[in-house]
Amino acid sequence: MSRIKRIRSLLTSKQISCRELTRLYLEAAERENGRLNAFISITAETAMEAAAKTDEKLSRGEPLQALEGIPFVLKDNISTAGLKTTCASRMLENYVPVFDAKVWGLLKSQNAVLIGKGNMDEFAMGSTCENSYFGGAKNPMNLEHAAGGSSGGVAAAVGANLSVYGIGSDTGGSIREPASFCGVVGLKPTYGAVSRNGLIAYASSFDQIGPITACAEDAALVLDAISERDEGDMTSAGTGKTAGSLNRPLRGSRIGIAPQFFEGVSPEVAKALQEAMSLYRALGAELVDCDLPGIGYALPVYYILACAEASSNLGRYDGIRYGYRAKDFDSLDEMICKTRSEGFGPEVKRRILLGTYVLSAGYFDAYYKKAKLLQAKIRDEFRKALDGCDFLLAPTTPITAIKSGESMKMSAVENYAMDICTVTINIAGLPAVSIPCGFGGGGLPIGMQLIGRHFDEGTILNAACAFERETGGKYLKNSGMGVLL
Amino acid sequence: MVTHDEVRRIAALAKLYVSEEQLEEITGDLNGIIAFADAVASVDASGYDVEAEDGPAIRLRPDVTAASYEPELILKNAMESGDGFFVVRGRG
Repeated sequence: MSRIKRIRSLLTSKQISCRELTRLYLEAAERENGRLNAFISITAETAMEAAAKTDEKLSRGEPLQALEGIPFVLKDNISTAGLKTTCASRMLENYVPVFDAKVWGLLKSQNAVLIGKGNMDEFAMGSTCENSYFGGAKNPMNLEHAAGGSSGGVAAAVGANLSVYGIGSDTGGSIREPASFCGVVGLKPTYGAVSRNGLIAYASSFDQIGPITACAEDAALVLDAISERDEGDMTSAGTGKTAGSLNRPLRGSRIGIAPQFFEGVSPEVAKALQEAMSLYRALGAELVDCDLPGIGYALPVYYILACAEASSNLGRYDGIRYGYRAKDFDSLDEMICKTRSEGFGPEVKRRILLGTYVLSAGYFDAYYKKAKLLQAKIRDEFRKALDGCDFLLAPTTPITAIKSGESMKMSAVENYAMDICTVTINIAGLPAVSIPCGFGGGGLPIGMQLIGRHFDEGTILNAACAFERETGGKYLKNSGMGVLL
Repeated sequence: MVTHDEVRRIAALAKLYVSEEQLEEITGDLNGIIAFADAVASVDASGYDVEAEDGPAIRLRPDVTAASYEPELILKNAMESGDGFFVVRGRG
């Protein structure tokens, strides 16, 4: 079922050369990007260089590494030296990093084939990808719908077979939510599992890089390749290998179900999740009740803390050293204010203002400090819940992908509500994988979230693989677009 | 409720301009979000301590000198540079 292994076997059996394979993906990306808007840039030269190196190794009869020669997409907030990294913002429209993010360095050293940089919400702030300065990515399962956000371009490219896999980032659901909307698998690893070195910061205490893939086994393969302790990120710890242990039986496993995750969830999503629970029970797992009242106030806690960090992190954009600079100013202060006002989009400015407000004198204790205390409380609730079970099962999103343009008619708070099932996981720093588990109206995919203990990605990926096996992969629907190999 | 004056003050702290035309909309937006954030006030957090929170392990790297970037490379991303410096040139 692994798409990565299938493509790899085509290469190693010499049914196709890596250059031929890469050309197919580049042509498909160029052809489909007009209607999908999945890529902000297509990196043909970089891709062909890696493909040529892979072909040389194959011609010498050398073994390939796990992701060697495999085409992939990288979210455009991950630094690539010599290649534009825009964060989907006017502010960084022409920014070219001078160094590689750790994760890109690791993949480059394997000759992974970078097809392009994935579209996203500006500075990863959004749930539809429609806050992109370059326009939103469309959903390959239904082009009238949004791809989700913020890693929408990466999920769309994987769903549309324009990349074998992708790398996104998740601060409050930005890997899992678009994966759920586009019918692919999205893994947010434990905070610290993957180095953030070179990831353009939104909210540093929540940001985490992870894979978006066609199936759970591929997520394990990619995680194993990118998870490594890195001195460039003081919170980086790396994590154990996962791909070799995905066939463990679930008999006797305990799966935690918290009713708070299911409040306000649409009937079609609730039904798909009920069916998934029945399947796990049939596999011999036991469903246990657990209580996570913190979900009731997790959204404001997340938005207070994330926006506070964003207001500080985005203070660096002053138009002096890199990025956009406004014209016509009389003073340095005027230049900085004009640059930021013209360079940032509305949602980014909204979050900077909220973050500045909750950190300002007179409000710090009531908002920021209180939210930090509630974060401790939420972490404690999850710790207790996971003491009584092996992992938790929950919806990824309360609804399926919304129509393109709908989010623009909604208030900011209504938009934030889409993140209700995902933000708590970032607050607690836990790993969670979203996998497709059904279809709703219009053939739109429904996602299920499996949430594990810190650094126990192996358990949730094993359970995800078991679900895919037992359902015969019927929810891993192919969009029929892109490269069909 | 935040007032227009408060929004002006926050925007100045954040180094953002808010025009008089945008003020009404941004104040409304911000009041909506702050009302939503106010939900944290009513939740009891007694017994929890931010300092005692067991967050991710912080590992400092050894304090050793390492190679840095060439100034020319760093200056490439600046809108204007000269003599090895970033240059900001105003209207005057």
